Amino acid sequence: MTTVDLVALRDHLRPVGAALREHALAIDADPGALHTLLDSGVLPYRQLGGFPPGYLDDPLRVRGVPVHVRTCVERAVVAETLAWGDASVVVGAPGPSMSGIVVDDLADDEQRDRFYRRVAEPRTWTFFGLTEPDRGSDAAALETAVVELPGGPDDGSAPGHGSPRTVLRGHKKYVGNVARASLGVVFARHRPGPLGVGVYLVDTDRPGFDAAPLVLTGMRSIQLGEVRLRDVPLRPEDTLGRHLSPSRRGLLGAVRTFNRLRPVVASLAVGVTQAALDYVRAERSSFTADERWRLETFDDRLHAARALVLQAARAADDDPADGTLPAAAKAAALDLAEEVTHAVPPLLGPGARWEHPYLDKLVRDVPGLEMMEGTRTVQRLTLAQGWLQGRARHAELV
Amino acid sequence: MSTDVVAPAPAEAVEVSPEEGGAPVRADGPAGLRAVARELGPVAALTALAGLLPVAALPGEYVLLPDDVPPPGDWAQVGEVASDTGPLLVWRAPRAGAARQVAEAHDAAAPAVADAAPAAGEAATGAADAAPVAGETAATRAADAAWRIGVAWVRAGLCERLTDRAVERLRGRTLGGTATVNLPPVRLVLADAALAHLEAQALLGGAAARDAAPDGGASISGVSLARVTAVLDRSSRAVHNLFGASGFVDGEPARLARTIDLLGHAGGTLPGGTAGREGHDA
Ligand SMILES: Cc1cc2nc3c(=O)[nH]c(=O)nc-3n(C[C@H](O)[C@H](O)[C@H](O)COP(=O)(O)OP(=O)(O)OC[C@H]3O[C@@H](n4cnc5c(N)ncnc54)[C@H](O)[C@@H]3O)c2cc1C
Repeated sequence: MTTVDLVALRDHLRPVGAALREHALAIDADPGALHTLLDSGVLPYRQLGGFPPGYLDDPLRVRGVPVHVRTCVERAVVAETLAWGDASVVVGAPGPSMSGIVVDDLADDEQRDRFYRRVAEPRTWTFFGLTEPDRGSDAAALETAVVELPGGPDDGSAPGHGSPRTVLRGHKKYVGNVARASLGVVFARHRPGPLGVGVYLVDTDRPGFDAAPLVLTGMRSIQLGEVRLRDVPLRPEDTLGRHLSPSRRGLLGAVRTFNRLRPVVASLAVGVTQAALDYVRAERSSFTADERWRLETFDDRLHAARALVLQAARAADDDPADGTLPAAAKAAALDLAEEVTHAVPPLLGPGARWEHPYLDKLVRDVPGLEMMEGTRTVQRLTLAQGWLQGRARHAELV
Repeated sequence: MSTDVVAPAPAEAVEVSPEEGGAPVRADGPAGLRAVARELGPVAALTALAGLLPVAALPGEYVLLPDDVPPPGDWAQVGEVASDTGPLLVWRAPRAGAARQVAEAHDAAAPAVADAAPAAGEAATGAADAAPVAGETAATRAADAAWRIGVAWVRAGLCERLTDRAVERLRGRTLGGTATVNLPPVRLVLADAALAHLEAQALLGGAAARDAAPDGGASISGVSLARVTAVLDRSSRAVHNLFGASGFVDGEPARLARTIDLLGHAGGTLPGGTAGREGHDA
């Protein structure tokens, strides 16, 4: 159970969300405008990044209490509050991001220190390289490989001249921040079979690491990109979880990471939904009885979704191996976000998508949230399976 | 207040050049726009629509047009949409007062209206039952309604086009050795899309109104149009999600999905009691 006062945390971050709103359209038009936001200093991205104690001199303080934003519950509250302004900046800001969670789960002390020390430097982005052009949801079949090259020239990555070199070879696509990241994790296969996928901590300045951004339809500050791994040198100390059993490292180990991330993505959707509802009420003061009824129904559903997401975050903190509630939270929050963001513009008139570009941005952002951490279809399958196995039946949403 | 309007009169066939070579495609009346949209995409379909009917909108409302189809009168360009087959320009009809001239110009070309055309409620004012605004004639309203129904036919075809593209993609992807298109949840999305396409076609073809109308005339009500818009909105969003992340980068599927979405937003309902279409069809 978290000891952080979540209401105080929300209140503390509300002005940051409002500041993100002011920059949202500029960043949507040009992801490079994210730098203007970072220059402005209104986004304390390092304090919100989830660094372990010891890596930041000045952690966030809420009513005098330091908050490290390490638990899923804290991350969810931060994500929701900031997403009210711009969900894409929450994911597109520099910091440990998704890789931080996988590092927390799988890294040994030395790797953790290597990762966080580097990321603590200002303006340091990380990436999480799982998806491939032909392998998205089917992560277990990924093709990026760890390859042993016979006796190549010594580039410092292998113990001695002429000894085998271990390299990464493959192609990842739709990877957030990859073209501007300094380091991150790559999922790659070192042998066939379900336990044959490893996770590797890789610096992007290594030879053969070739990343480029893609043009997105929404969530533009994430700057999804693709990366070609052309025999990128790998060192033994890059293998995350080498101290763990085979079933705890690699993809199976990363399942815990995904379960912890899902409530955070769901929180982003809750923040976007709240933003859309607040926006229409700020722009229009009177509604017909039918419209009022619909908005109140959305409010109710939003409260319910928020409660579910928070409960899922608590569940992920308690037992990250169980993804049932996180799957439920993501499905519910995305259903609502999609419906509300499409329902709100017509309330502002027939040309609202052009006259209120912020609403158009929300509509375009939501499909990005749908894809992050698995689509709703896949979440429903996870939920059904967990429920049939007796999980998530006794969740208390009060 | 009734929102019934007559289906756009089947005008003479329109020929549209296909994207790449081949014989020209004919749109035999508004229903034929569906095939043009499915096979050739939004630019060709909207060009064909403009060949069948005068471009029309109520004062202050919006249409999307290919750049070689001029809007009437002193309409203002407010944006551009990159569709999968080329740019579409977004035009706003002059606001109330400035519109009379345009309305008069339409009087000759617009199809007849069976019933008084829908009220021009401005959703943003919250007036559900507003009186027609100044400068809005029965002919303007009829022309507007006819255009919207044409757009709905175009959207129906575009939704089928999007679904065809999604199926093509998912035939080539696998999950655990099974083609993604064969996964039962994916099939359910495809089945729902097929149902949406069938329902839209039936409603646009006037099936609902034919049964209800005492004279058996093929009119389409505002309620029917709103329902068509709702089912197409919902199914196109579900089908768009089938593209996974590939549908989130700026490419053909994303552009097509956005065009479907914005065409629905600009012209998916008749004003007056049909605002807030989402949620009514659940
Ligand atoms: C904004 C954004 C940020 C992202 N960030 C990252 C990142 O940082 N790192 C990274 O590695 N990836 C990232 N991704 C990629 C994301 O993880 C994938 O898009 C996602 O896993 C889906 O894979 P896919 O796109 O290949 O779709 P596919 O796997 O091809 O799925 C296509 C369709 O099939 C359905 N489907 C798939 N499997 C099943 C199943 N078992 N049962 C039923 N239906 C199924 C899906 O629901 C979907 O509708 C990001 C994507 C987006 C849009």
